[in-house]
Parts: sequence; C-alpha cells; structure tokens
Amino acid sequence: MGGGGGGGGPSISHKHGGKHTNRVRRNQYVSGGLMLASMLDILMAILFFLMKNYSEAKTDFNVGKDISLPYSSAITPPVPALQLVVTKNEVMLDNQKIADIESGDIAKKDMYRDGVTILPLAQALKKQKDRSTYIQKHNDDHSFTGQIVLQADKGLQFSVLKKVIYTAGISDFVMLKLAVLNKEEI
Amino acid sequence: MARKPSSRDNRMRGEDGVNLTPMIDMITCLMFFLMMFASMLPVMIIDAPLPKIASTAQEVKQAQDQKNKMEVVVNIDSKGFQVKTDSGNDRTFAVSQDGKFPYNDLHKHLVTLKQKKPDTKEVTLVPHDSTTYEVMINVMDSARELTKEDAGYQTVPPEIARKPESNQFNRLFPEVSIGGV
Repeated sequence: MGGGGGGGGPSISHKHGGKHTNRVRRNQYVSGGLMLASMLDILMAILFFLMKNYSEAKTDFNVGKDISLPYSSAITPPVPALQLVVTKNEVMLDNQKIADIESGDIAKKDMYRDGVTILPLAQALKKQKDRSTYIQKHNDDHSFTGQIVLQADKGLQFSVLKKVIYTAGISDFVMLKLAVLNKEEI
Repeated sequence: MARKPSSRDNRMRGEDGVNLTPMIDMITCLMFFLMMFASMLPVMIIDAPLPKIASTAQEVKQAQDQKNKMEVVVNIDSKGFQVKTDSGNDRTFAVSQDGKFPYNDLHKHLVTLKQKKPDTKEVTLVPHDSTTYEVMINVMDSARELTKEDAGYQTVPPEIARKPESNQFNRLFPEVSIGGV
C-alpha cells in the first residue's frame, strides 16, 4: 500500500502584492484534512495480524458465566466437545442448567441414592450419548468419542468435582478435558 | 506550448483519489469484532482421561509389558503432598507456614523419579475431598513438563515455542489421570 499523501500548501510569494496576487492566493486550495492513507496502512497491518491469530483458533470457546477458571501452563488448544460447566452455584451441560450446588455440595434432591451419581446429569449425558450414537449409525463421518470438556471454578472442592467426574465416567464420557486459562497470555 | 490567457487556471484542484473514510470505518469495525473475540482465546485444555480397567487381552498384555515404567501416585490434602511409587520411595511435602503448597519441591522430586525410569509417562492424582480444583491444576503443571532449571531440559525451537507441537519436548509425566473418583 502506498505511503502517506502529500501535505502542506504551496509556497506563496509575497514579493508582488497586487490585486491579481491576492485573487490567486484566495483561490489556491489548501488541503486541511487528515492524512488517512498512512492511518489506513497501520489499520491494515493490525487487521492482518488479528485475522491471522483468529484463523489459528480452531474453535470458539465460551467460558461460562460466574466462573473463574484456574491458570495453567498448558498449551493445548480447546477442541469442539460437549461442555460441562460447574460453577459455585450450579452444574450446566451445554448451557442448560442440570443441578444446583447448595452449601458447597451438590443439592441432595439431585443426587442418586448411591451418594455419588448426579441423577439429572447422568440422564442428560445419556441423551447426548444416544443422540451421538444415532448420528453415528447414519453418518460415517461422525463417531462417539466420549470427549467432554469440564469447565470448573478454581475454588470448587474435589468433593463436588468427583461426583461430576464420576457421573461423566459412568455415562461413557471418559475422555475428560479440563479447561484452564493460559498463564502466559494473561 | 503556452496556453491562451483565457484558458489559464491558477486554482489548485483537490485530490481526485479514492475516498478512504468508508474503508477506514469498515476496518475499524472488523478490528473491534476480531479483538473482542480474540480475547476468548487464552483458554487451553488439559487431557485428563479417566482411568480405564484393562478389559481386552491386548490391553492386559500392554499393562504387563510396562516393566520399565513406574507407578507414581500423588496424594493431595490440606497438609501437603505425598508421592508414592511402586518402588517404595515415598516422600511427603508439607504446606509451608504461610499456607503455600510446595509445588517446586514436588516438581524436583518428580524430576528425580523420571530420571530413574524415563519411560514412565503417567501420574495419578488422588486429591482429598477438601482439595480445591486450583491446587489440582497446579500439581498437574508441576508434573507435566521440565522447566529451564531442570537437568535434561531441551531448548524448544522458536518457531514452535508455545504451540502444541512443542509438546514433544521436555515431557515429565504428561499423562495425568485423576484417581479417587
């Protein structure tokens, strides 16, 4: 892209000060606008940089609301998979609320009698698995991989997480992927 | 050739170039959009597959072939870490008086273990119920890769630094699984 446009008006001689000279001076056009070409150069450079970075991102990844992910040195980018979000107040599967968390533990109404299975989560995961296997039967390109991305608040205790992980495990979602924030890029 | 006096024109005309203002508007909008969504990108993932019971003959054979490997288990509780291995070389790392977990000491010990059995890639974390998710992730970070201060650290080529391709370098115990579930 070309460089900036020319600036500054032409030099005006004050040697001859007659009527003719004044008329010429009045009619001379002086460019008073901004030099947009150089600004455009800068913006284009930033735009290309951003577009390159954006194209390297393999997937859109939305961090759940009211959640504070832990920081890690991991550098593996996220993959498209079922999103299991555990905040301090609730458990969500693909943006659908599944169970409540009360007083730092899964609400008793949502627990199965074995004390570790979260019943609504198990049911929701079974639906997802059934749907995936149904698609697999009719589409060779699709296969059920059992991948699930866990977004959990960094302050959550393992007593809550183990119930979530256990329920995912018994529902055949064993390829657990933990979402974290990259230490270097923050 | 000299012009006739009637056709002389002393006025300087404005630039006849392309009007750049709409283009700048468009680029500014695009930049705003890209910068807004680019802010979501620092999210990364850690693979933590759930432990699997060997069910097929091939899997049982594979498990038996792991003679050159060591089983490393890190127990985590509010008091600190306890590292157990099948060779019986157990070590405990207590939380400091100001409540900080000794991640560096744990990392150094894991480096020593790795040097004894370099083929080992797996580590199992067994957190106590009161362990927070943040502590679990920090332990995984301590166990996953060598740092610049460690013996055997390889310099990553700059063209793949901070990219997934660099995962082949400086591995410690990259395959982390969560036990106690």
